[in-house]
Amino acid sequence: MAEDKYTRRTEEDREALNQLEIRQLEHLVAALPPEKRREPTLVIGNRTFTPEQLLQEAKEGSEYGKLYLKMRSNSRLERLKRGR
Amino acid sequence: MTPKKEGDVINISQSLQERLEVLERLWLPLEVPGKVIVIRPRVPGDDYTEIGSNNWAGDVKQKALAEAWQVTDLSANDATRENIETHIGNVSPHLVIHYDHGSPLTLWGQEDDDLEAGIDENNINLVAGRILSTVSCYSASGLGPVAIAAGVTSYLGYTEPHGFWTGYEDAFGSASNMANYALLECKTTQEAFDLGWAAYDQLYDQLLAEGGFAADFVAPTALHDRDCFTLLGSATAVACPRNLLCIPGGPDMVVHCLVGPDAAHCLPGNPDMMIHCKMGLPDSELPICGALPENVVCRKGPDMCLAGPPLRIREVIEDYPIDLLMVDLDKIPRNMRKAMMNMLDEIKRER
Repeated sequence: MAEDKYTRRTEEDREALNQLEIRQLEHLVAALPPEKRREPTLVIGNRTFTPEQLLQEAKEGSEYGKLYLKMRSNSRLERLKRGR
Repeated sequence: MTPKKEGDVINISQSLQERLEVLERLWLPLEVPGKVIVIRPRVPGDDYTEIGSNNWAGDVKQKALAEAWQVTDLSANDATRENIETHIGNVSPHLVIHYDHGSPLTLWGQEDDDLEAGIDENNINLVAGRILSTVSCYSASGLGPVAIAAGVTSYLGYTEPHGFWTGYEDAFGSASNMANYALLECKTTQEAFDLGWAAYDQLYDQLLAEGGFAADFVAPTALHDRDCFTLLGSATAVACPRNLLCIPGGPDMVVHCLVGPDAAHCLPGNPDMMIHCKMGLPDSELPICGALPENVVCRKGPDMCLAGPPLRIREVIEDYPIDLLMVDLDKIPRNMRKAMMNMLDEIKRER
């Protein structure tokens, strides 16, 4: 019972953080000039993504979308560690 | 054995031991550039290899040539599995560097403008005893441990996807190359890893400082590359082979173990010692079989002298004309001159 509660809450928290990252990314992409939303691109593995596409991938919860959100989340923590 | 003979043996042994000590001081153990294979596909239409990795590996190749490495460049359609296997077998490289795509258990090569599995768990054994460094996705998570289990000395790679941003490819390339540059400079794998990690960390800092798009979008990828960069296996390994160099005018020594029928005059299992002087001094062989004290270490090679051609005049060496050591700097590889001169100065000072 306690285990279910813990697991459920952890999943909810994780999803909340995920949505927070997506909203922040959405905000950043919207603030970009139109040409910057489509260029430059993140080249990763055999795939290439514009900022707009990254946002779309993140919303869809694709493998690369999740990966980019994880990068952003780790970077946010690193910036806090560095006081930036 | 009569007492007289025993006394002779002791004298000979002492004499040889003293000689060994003198000789050892004339060696210059030095890590020198060896042989490297650079595998770097360039698949048409594939941004990672066309914009990034193939060019980065090209820079690594140039660095290797500048450092006097013997380079085998398997670029684009030359990076076939067959070529990779053949060249590892024929060249016997000290270092294998790969740039391109990676999967958890595969480093990709290229054939007919398409990806082809280049190195995987079925042929990783070919890299045993060498250092493998790859800039590619995932492989350190799976192939890395398999490689170490198969006898690969050290594995530098990435546990997750490796990425970069267009417009920043040179900066990401410089960070990606840093560890390989260090390996080519004869640094240890740990030093190479630390320098690679620090290069990504510095790139991350620079991107944050730049602010705007660089900080918001690009920097997280540099941090990610830093964090999934991994060193497996030996942390003290050095890609450069260690050679004992002889000083021009001085002797190079090799102690061989001759066992069995080839060494008719030796007691089985006992070492035979040969002292070679290749640089203008006599070439001499001093068999001392059956009379060696236990503390004489039986060593094997190397017998290579990089500093010039052999001159063979057979004559027993009794006294080495250390005072007359002549050093022809032109015959010494440029990157070794300083160390060589320092050692000669030290010998002369001590004398």
